Formats: sequence, structure tokens, C-alpha cells
Amino acid sequence: MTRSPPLALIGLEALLASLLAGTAAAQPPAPLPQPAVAPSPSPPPPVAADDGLDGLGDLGLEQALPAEDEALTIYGFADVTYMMYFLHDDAAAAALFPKENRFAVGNLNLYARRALSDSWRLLAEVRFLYAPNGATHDDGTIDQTSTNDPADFDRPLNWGGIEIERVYIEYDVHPRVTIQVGSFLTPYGIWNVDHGSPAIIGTSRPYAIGEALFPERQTGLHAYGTLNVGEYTVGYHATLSNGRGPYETFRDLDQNKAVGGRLTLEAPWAGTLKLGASAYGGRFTDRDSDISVIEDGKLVNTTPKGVSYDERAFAADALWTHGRFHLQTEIITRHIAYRNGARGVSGFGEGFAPDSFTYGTYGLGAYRFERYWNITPFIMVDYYRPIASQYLDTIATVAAGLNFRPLPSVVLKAMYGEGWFPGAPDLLADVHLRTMVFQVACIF
Amino acid sequence: MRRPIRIGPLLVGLLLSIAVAVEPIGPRAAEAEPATKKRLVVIVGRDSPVTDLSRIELNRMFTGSVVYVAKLRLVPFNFPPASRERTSFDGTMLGMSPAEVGRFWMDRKIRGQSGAPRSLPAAYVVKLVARLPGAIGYVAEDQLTPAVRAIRVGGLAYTDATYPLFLQ
Repeated sequence: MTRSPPLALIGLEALLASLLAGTAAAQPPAPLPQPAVAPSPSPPPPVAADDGLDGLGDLGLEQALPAEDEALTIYGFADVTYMMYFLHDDAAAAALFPKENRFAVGNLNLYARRALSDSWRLLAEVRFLYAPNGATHDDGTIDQTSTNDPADFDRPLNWGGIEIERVYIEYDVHPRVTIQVGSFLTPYGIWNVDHGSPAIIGTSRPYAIGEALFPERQTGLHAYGTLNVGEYTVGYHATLSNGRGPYETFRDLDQNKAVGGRLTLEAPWAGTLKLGASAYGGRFTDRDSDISVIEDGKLVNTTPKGVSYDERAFAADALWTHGRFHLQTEIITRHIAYRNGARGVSGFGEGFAPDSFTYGTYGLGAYRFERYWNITPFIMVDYYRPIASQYLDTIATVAAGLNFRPLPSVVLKAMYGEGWFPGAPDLLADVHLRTMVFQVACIF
Repeated sequence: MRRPIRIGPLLVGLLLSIAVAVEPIGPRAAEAEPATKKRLVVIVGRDSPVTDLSRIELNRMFTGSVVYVAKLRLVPFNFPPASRERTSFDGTMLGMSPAEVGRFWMDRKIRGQSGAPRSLPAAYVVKLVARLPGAIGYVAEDQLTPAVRAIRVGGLAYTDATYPLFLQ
């Protein structure tokens, strides 16, 4: 194939810009180097006829591609779990937890990523759910979403829902500052960022994570960046969001924006040590819609007060890896103070909900072997102090298991866990909950 | 009163014992003595301002972090995962076996973080590095061409006796 050098060069520049836009996708800070995305001020040398770059078509990098990366990358993960509860029908815990052994499809999450330019990106993640089908209410009733399928002779089908895990647009403002706008996972700790079952060693989340002492995700602005100082890396995150609420992804019922932040340090101490500290402050409000009435010929609007509290959450985390050893821990606290006249009702039927201080911590240790599908024995200890009540004081669990990685994209897990309720009054005093969970997770 | 059967701890203990018993003893593949002494050379374009990169800078660059030198963003290019060059580089510079590298990039995808540097055959790595300011790659020393320039790694030229990167 014969081309004039300038045209070939333009094509190559476009190709490289395209190439780099893909390379730069979701990199923390940083626009691409100017020479990579814009024509050089001085004309580069002509392409030699024997350059061999015509063969780029073999790599899917045809010369006719535009300068932008138009590729939409779709990927995701899924997991299937088999859960066994070692409970007898007459055990007290059988009244609190499902006692039947069962298979369950846990997650089917789909990601869409697009590099909009060298410094703009989009990431969306949605989770497909069978819920609300099968969701159990406090009164014991179970939702069933059976309906007739008009496309299949009205045969019955059960429909499910979709949860938008996150969706944001990201822009590199500066090499040290990237801003996300949209719905993002709250940048705190280790577990909430690891997020997906294939990336998590165990089969289930510690209580302090699962109970969302920090909101799992927020809607608003998220700025972050890193700075390399010698062998150390310092990172920061700052968030401004609607905060927690019943419709937080599109409404802020109290118009009180939540703020949060996180600082991290990565150091090459005896392997790699990553330390983090996070904070979050915001106001939760749940109320009915505004009421509008006509009084004396004028439209008068009233905003019901509802339930509202201010919350402050703090967390610290550490992750140490040394060769194949992996050790991680987090401690998370949350303080709730109800506003005057806006106190909620206790979830335990004990009248008004009190102001509360909740905290939890966990530690996870693992060692990954090279052989046998990278077998990784692990142990996890979890301690959680929920809102004080006459029924519950503390939840403690110990779990041990094995994690296999036969392929980078396939994870097999087996975890045995035992949980009990130290300090609990009569009802839960002797309850021990034992579970065995098997899980297959894959990235596709 | 019946007691629940505790098969979980037994199963975990049994498998853990097997794993410990069969774990290979000795240096990891990536740390093993190189079979040949052919060096792996880190290259940039002839006009690049980059002359020397530390191991940690190379590690950061090839694990998804952004590295600037003289206000120029460095853009790494990799070899295909199964190639000798890639295995050697990842083992020495990143301290990861091919399986660990695979896990590393898969897990980053799930976290929503950036993907791996582009992988290209040797011929393209040399040509793209030669052409693109900020590009950086690595090749076996016999793949060096006048269009690219070898840089020092941690202050060591590839001709130094203590140069750390070898094709294994």
C-alpha cells in the first residue's frame, strides 16, 4: 500500500490519540501529554515506507479511525452462592434467619465504560436483581412479582429490578485533580472500593460494611488525586453530595449537602502498606411530600418535618501485603443525633429511636499459594456494636475459608462462619449462627 | 439435644493442610535465576527527556498510575501477557507472576479503575515508542534500533553488570 507521508502521519497521530484515550481510561489524575493528542508544533519526521505500521490494522487500529476512542467497553461480573445454615427448626435463630439450604444468584453486574476524550470518561455499573420477587417484609409477608407474559401466551413469569450501582462522568482537571460527577461509591476503607465479589476474598461483607455506617454510594461531586513523593504515594478524596436519604440519587429533601473526605498513604514498608482515614458528615431526612392548600385565595405550601438526623462517620483502614501475605483491617464509627421534633421510631418497637453511636471493625488475613488454583486460606474476625436495644448489644463473627483463582477471571470460595451475640439479653443470649457458604464468581 | 454438624472447620482445615503440604519451596518463578543473560532494555524515543527511571516509577507506570517526567506524561506499552518479555518484566519490576498480573488487572476493572497498558508485539512497541513522545516500553537488547534510546533503570545502564532486567 502506498501513502503519502503526511497523510500517513496524520492517520498515525489519530491512531495514537485513539490508542492513548483508551489507555488513559479512568486513570486517576492526568490529561494526556499534549504531543499525543494534538499535532506537534513542529512537523514530525515523515514516515518511512518501511515503517511497518501499515500492519496496525491487524491490531484493530485501522488508520481511518477517528482521533477519539469511540469504543464502548462492556464487562461485568456475576456470582452464584450455595448457602447452608446449620440450624434446627426449633432453634431460636431459625426465627431470625432463613434456615433452608439454597442456591442463589447473588450478583449480575454490568459495566459500561467509555473514554469520551483524552480527559473525559464515563463509567456506569448496573446490577440486575430478582428482587423485589422474594423480598421478605418485617411482618413475614413475601413479595411475589408473578405476572403474565404477553409475549408468551400469558404464561407466568417473575420480573425483577435493576439497581444503578454507580454512574458518573469523570474529568481530569489537572494531573493531580480528577473530578467525578454523578453517583459514585463512597471512597472509604478497602471493602467498599473493592466492591465486587470477584475482588473480595471472602463470601460476605463484615457487619460494619454491610450496615453502611458510611453510605455505600453518594450522588454529587467527587474530587480525587494522588501525589508521588519518592517511594511514597499520598492520595486524597473529597466529596460533596445529597447525602443519605430515601431518594438520594435525585432528591435532597433537606437541601443540606453532605461532605466527606479521605486521605491515603502508600508506603513500601516491609512489602506494601496502605493506610487510609475517612470522614463523612451529612443530614438524613425522610418526609412526606409538600402539602399545598389554598387559603384566602392564595396557594400556601407546607413542608412536613418527617424524620431527620445529623450523622458523623469516621473510619480508618490498613492494608499490608508482603509477598503472598495479605492483611487488611478497618474500623468504622458512626454517630447519629436526631433533630428536635424529628426523631424516628425505634426499629425494635421500643418507642422513639435514641441518638446512637455505632461502630464496627474487622480483620482479614490471607495467604495465596502459587499452586492448586492459587488456593488462598483466609480468616476473618468481625465485631460490630449496633444501636443499643433490649434485644441486641454486640454481634461477633469468626469466619475461615478458602479462595481459589483457577483463572484470573474465575474465583471459587468456601467459607465457614460462626456468629453470636455477646452481651445479648435472654432472647439471643445462646444463639449461635453457623453457616457454610460456597461461591463461584466470575468476571466477563 | 442434637448438635449441628460442624463440617465447615473440618473441610477448611483439611484443605489448608493439603495446601501447605504441597506448596513449592524455593524462589518464585519471577525471582529465579535467569536462564539466559539477554537483557531487557527500557526504551523511549530518541527525543524523550527521560533518561533514568527508578524501579518504583516503572512499577507505578505499569500498574495503572500516572507518572510525569519533565511535565510529560509517560505512556507505557506492554508485551502480550504470555510473551517472555512480559513475564520477565512483570516478574522483576512488578514482583508478580503471570497469574498475579491477571488477577491484578481483573480486580482493577471490577473496582472501576483503569485497565492495563496496551499490549503490542515487539515490532510495534519499538516503532510506537520511537514515534510517540512520552511513550515508554521495553525490548530485548537485540531488538534495539537507532530510532529508540535505552534509559537507565535505577541509575543502571543496561550494559552495567548489576542491571536488574533480564529476559528469562
